[in-house]
Amino acid sequence: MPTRTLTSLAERDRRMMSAPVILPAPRIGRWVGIPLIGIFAAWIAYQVLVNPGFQWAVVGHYMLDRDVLSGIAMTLELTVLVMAVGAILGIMIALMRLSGDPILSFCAQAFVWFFRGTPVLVQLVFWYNLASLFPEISLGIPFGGPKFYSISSTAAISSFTAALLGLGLNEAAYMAEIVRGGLLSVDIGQTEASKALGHRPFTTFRVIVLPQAMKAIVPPTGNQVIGMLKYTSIASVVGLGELMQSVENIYSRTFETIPLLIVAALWYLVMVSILSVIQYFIEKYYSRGWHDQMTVL
Amino acid sequence: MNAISSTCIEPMVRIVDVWKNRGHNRVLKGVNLEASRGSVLCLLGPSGAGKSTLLRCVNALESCDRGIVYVDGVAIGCRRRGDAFYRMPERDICGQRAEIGMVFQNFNLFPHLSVIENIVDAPIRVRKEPRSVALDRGHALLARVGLAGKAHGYPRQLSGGQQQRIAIARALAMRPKLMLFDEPTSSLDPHLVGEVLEVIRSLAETGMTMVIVTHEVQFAQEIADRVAIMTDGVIAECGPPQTILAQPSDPRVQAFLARSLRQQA
Repeated sequence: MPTRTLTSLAERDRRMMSAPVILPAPRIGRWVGIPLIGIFAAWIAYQVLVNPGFQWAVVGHYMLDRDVLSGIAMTLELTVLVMAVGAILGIMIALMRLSGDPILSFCAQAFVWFFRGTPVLVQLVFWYNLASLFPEISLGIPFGGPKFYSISSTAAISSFTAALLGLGLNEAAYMAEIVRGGLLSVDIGQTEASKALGHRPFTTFRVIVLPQAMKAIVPPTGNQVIGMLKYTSIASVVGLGELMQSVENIYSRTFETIPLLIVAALWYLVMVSILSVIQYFIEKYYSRGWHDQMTVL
Repeated sequence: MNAISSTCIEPMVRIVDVWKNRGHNRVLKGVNLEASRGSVLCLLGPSGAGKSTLLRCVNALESCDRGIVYVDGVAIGCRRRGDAFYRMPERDICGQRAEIGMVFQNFNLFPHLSVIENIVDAPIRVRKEPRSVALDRGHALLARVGLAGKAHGYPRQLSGGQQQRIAIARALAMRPKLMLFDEPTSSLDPHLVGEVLEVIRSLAETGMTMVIVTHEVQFAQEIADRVAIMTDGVIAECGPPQTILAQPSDPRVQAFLARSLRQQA
């Protein structure tokens, strides 16, 4: 038995060797492209290392500077809070839009239209200057009725609250559309099966539909978070001490513009890389059941 | 099936003069139908006749424009106040749906939950059963449909026939009074149909009231106590399978049966 299989294997190899060979097609583009890219990359590396304008010593000096680090802390804090406000409000608005109630749906659509339609910069500056429209923020009956609680606008709205409101509401509008898209992507049969089992509408949403919608929600949300991390730099117009503001403060004193912009860019890059890794793990969690699992038989 | 379930006792399902439109299309035109307790009612008919729509009106997944559906004497999806019926809000209907089990053509298992989680999720959340009790029952139901070893797998890893059997187990976990089947074998490969029909047959033998929308005329003949044939939104014929399927009087029913029996031959 073994000798027969050995000869049949050898026989098969011999037959394969005599069959016509198919060679891969010649790729001229690669022969031209790789050297070109190599030369371009080498030139960039050379400029980065040799060009005195980069002032790498200055970059090294300011990378761990105290003001820069406090700017980073502020950027992170603002990003986390803005995304939290945006996500929670966004889910609520998406639910309002998909609820079937015409009034809730209209309010949701109006919110999204307005807060996506006006530039973030305008919204930011508006919130910061709220005192000129409403000198006093109060809770009570409108049109001249009694007030239960009031606070002066200038005291209530700091640059941080203005940034949080401006960026947060804008983000909520975008998140509402992302969540709505994710919810719509779940097969309607899932909702029907859940209803048929007797689940209440909110339980159907929370336990059955939302977890499945996360597959479609997480990637664009990751995009939004990473974008927001850098978009917080716009809060420097209302004087918030985040990373760009800290960096601008330094180079407006020392005129070392390029190295300090490199410091900011490198720190943004570090934060984005960490967030990308986190996003990868979140996506992996939400795709359980969609790739092959170990079965316990 | 059961001589005791006579006409004096309230039928389990009573569909009274149900009309439904979809846009300009009249899908259901004054349907009257009854299913007595412990019996199996099969709804047959050509595509587009309104069978699935009628079935979905029974557990209020669709709302009727006119007419009322009663399950176990209770009006489904609406509340009576004086002479008028008012539509129930969604959160109240779910309590009614918990008593009615439904099996779908596309199985609709929850892909992000394991098989056993699919089965125990509703009893724990809706009926507030303790987890250990629900798990015991879940495993027993899995064994009953012949899939005891698959408890920790995910739906995506299973064949269509296995998924449908798990869907049946999931519906049974809620201890329903009534089981609805919306074309349970229509999405399955022919060689997987038998295993699902076997589960349905054994379920019928336990005395569960069942309404089955199906294309399998042969199966309906074997298992049904009564057969109703729908064409164009109305019930054309209704009665025991021997009389209806052997000697149909309505010409539309004759045409339908000739076609489907020829296809199945």
